[in-house]
Amino acid sequence: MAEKVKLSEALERTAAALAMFDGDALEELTARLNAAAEGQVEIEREPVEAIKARQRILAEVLTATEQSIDLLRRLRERKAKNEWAH
Amino acid sequence: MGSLISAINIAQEALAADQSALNITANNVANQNTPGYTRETPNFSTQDTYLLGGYEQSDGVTSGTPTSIRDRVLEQRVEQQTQVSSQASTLETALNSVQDIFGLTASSTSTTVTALGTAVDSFFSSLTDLANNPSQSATRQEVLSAAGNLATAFNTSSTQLTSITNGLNNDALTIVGQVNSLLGNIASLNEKIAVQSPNTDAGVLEDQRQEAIAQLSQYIGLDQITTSNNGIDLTTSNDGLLVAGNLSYPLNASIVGGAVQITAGPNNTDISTGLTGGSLGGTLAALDTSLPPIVSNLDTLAYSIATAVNAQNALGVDAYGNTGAALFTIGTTSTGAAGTIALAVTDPNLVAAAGGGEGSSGNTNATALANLATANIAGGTTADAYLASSLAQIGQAAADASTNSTLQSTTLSQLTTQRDTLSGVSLDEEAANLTEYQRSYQAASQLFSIIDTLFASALDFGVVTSVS
Repeated sequence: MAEKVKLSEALERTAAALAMFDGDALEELTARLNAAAEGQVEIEREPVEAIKARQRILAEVLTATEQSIDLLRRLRERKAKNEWAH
Repeated sequence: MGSLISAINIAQEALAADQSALNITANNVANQNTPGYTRETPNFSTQDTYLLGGYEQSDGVTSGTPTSIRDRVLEQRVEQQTQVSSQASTLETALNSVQDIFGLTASSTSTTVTALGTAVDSFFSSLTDLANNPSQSATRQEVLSAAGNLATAFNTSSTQLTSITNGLNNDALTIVGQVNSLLGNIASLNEKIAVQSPNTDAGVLEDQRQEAIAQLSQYIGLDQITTSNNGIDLTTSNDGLLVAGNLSYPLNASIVGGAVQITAGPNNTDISTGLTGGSLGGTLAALDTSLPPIVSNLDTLAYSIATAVNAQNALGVDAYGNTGAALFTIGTTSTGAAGTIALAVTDPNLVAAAGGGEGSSGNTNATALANLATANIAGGTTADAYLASSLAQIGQAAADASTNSTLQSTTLSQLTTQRDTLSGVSLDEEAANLTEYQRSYQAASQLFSIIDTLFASALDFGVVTSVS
């Protein structure tokens, strides 16, 4: 089981992929983390603080994304109903 | 899932402040130009007068088309995030420079890796050697040599911190110059837009103004207020008037008593305190919030060691049989101590190794001097522990700044992506984008949960582990 994964790196890459809405990268990460959950990939030891800091980043980006999607949905609804002129 | 929930709670708390600022700006747009943003009032309505930078402004909007609302809302979100991200990045850079002074890295804040930590340890070690060999001139010389090295280490760190401070002061002045250049440009564009396109989208001119505001957001935190005649007025985040219609109010920046002072508006109101956002906000945050405690801790440590050593040396007898003199030159307060501490003597025989009444070859006072290494002489703790705590604070501040900078940059990337994909595409394409955004959000949420589970499992085992 030579392959290893760092949780902090996985979190950082997830946040970066979400920022760019990179579905392929997220799929790849999901497969890798699922493999770790099944014991096929080793989890590399690292400071707890490193993981927690990246968890915070991803959590905040998730929350920001949720808010942004809500905003986009409202804007699109307005446009679809022709509530602004263009 | 405890850590997931707590992380999201933290996120929500952290975002509350940002969201509040966003709401204010969004409301500015909505209230000034289109209350119909919430679809309660679809048409423009007459606006009341409002206060801008302490001055009452009149906005007589009675009609118009909210053609640019979509862009402005998203643009303002991007610009606000640019301001936050730029501030975070600037602060991160400043704190990394401080880390470099002390030789700290992201993974190590040990005192032994720092020149100052080594100098402190070497000094007390030389006193222990003196206690063991009080009559040897070499050990006395070693004490003075180590004391001189310690003073130099403090001086060097202090000089480097001063250099960082001076550099940041100059940066602030430079940034203000760049801000002022853009303010004039934006006011000029306001004037052109008011003449050419007071009630409709002004096309290229609006694009130019938006670009100038976007650039401005790199430098300073802004509040935007959309006014009549397609105008945009600007204030700083703490209400300093920057642009009102076709008039710009350049900031004035100067160094007063070593600190940056910035004034704004027609009355030159001092806005130095509470000015946030952009590289200027980051620079001021570093100068006003981050650096002072670091400088203070360094001064306190230098002052504490010097006064404790001088006081103890005065209780002993030197090699000439006289009462010990001060080994360090130090001021009467800790302020500036790290920069001014110096070796006060050059004659090694002036080190008071002996106690009173035991003759000049005694070691009682040398032992007492050496014991200062484990005495609580600095801020209620030992010198070494005080230094370690101070370095840990610097390391933590730098790590926090780095994390925050990454977060803000990531969020900015997302907002920029959304803005860019929203404009100029068909509804069908937009719907596809929205679906893709939602799919990415769900995938990232799922990843968060998976990692959270793995994290908890890893903690349970406490070692490198695979989780089955």
